[in-house]
Amino acid sequence: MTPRALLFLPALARFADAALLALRLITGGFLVWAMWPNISNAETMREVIGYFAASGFVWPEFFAPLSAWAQFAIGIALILGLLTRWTGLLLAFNFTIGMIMVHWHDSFRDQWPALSLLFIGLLLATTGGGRFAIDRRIETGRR
Amino acid sequence: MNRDLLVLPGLARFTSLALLALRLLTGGFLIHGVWDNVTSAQRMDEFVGFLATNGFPAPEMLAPLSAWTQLIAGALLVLGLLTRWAGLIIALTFVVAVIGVHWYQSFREWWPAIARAAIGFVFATIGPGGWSLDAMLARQRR
Repeated sequence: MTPRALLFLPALARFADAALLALRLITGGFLVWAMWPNISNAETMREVIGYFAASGFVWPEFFAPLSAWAQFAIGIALILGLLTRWTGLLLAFNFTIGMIMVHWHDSFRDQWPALSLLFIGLLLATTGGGRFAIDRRIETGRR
Repeated sequence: MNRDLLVLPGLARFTSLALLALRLLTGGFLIHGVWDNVTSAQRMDEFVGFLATNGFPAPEMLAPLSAWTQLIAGALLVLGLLTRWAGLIIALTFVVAVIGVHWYQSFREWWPAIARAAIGFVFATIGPGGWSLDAMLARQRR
């Protein structure tokens, strides 16, 4: 191995698709896990509506379920690697609203969960889902 | 239906920008997270106690090692210098944190650490993108 290869490790680029798969599975799995109680339990959803109202959202009865279902759908799409760039854009948009409306005055540590989701969304909106995504089959026209 | 409308391949041109944004956020967060540990002996002692409570061996050695490692890896991410090494170190550090600290907690409590592990893996493989010192050094060599 040359000193340059040792410094910059270009050989690791061969695992980029595996890293994108891992990022999609972890992020998508987290969103599905986090939203499942909200969409499957009316009492939990009522609590979320109250939380939205307390955070100053207009029409909390509309936006709380919309956000929960959107995040759940984003999670499923990320796991599958389906329409990943659209999904990344939606993820970034959702957590931009979350940052502004809910976490603006939090500490950096408390902002990290929402900020990391926002920037992961931006990354996936540009990289796409990688080789192990359904999108790749759409791109190449394979069944 | 037009495939390009479904998979938006045109957005790939912004990958270096998104990598820069994620590097600045993650690097900045790592530096912010350990700054008090490396600048205050009292906060470092608290971190030693935290690692001891969680069953880590040799916490007096591991606490400063972990804090300084995160500080340096965070600075390397911000600069985009030796980015793949920084990504590997971050991934390893936070896999250890998930196993050693968060294992019996909920996924919500896992997220802050496992997100950094996954992001570290991304930088270890994809690299820093075009707007980085790594890319600048590569261009100079050509």
